[in-house]
Amino acid sequence: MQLSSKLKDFINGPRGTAMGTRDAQLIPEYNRVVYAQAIDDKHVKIFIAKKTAGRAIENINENGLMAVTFVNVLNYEAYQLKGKCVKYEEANDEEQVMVENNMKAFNEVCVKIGLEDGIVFNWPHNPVWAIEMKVEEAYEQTPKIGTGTKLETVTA
Amino acid sequence: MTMITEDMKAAMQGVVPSGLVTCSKDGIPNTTYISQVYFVDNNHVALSHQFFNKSIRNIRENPYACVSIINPEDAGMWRLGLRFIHSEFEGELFELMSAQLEAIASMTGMENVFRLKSCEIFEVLRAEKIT
Repeated sequence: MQLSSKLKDFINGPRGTAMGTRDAQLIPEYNRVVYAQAIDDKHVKIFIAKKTAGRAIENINENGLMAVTFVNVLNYEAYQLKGKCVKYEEANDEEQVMVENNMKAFNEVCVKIGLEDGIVFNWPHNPVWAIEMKVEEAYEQTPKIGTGTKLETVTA
Repeated sequence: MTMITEDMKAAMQGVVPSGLVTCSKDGIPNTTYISQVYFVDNNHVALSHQFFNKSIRNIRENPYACVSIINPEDAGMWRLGLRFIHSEFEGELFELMSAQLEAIASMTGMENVFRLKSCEIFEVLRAEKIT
């Protein structure tokens, strides 16, 4: 799977972003993503608040499987990536600054849909885990009849 | 035991889309955003089925799901662990959710896109505040 330039730009946001994992009993777990960054044609880094990441990290340690959906909250354009965690670690100072900037930018977007200024920025976003995911599949998820199309893949 | 508290109900107006996570029987997680997490009673919610076909297939195979809800007034967010009970295709709940979905579609310019196919009823197994 190779991420297109268009999809990488979309991922780099600011977007509403949800991450899913699951445990050994196939119980799913939701996590809010505070920043995401396409780092090359096959890998994306996902940042989630450590405060609420307990079960997600347990799940990643156990099986590594992840799904992440990105949505433009202004027009509902959305894409989902599926893949596996390559590694995770606490975000470094430079990454934490990028998280901070993304939260400010996403807060501004949310003001446009009617949320009060500052309330989204106040979501926990420090410290965060930086989770590197190898992307194996991508799907369009913009609301419309027939959505869910698997995006074109390029075999490496 | 009551799983859904009064302050959580404010996060079920459909103003902010909810993140939904399901998992196939093969163990592949799936994420999507949905328009409605509707309060049914203190231990049950209904999700609007519009487009999320993969999520529906997953729920039929594996009844567990996890969804977020957000209060639009203060951005307070909860994470709900769910177990699928049944679907409804008509009746009072369907009509109420359909009317709310029409209002959401009208507010977001999605009048010709959003249409309720069914209400998916879930038991709430756990609820936790995550902001």
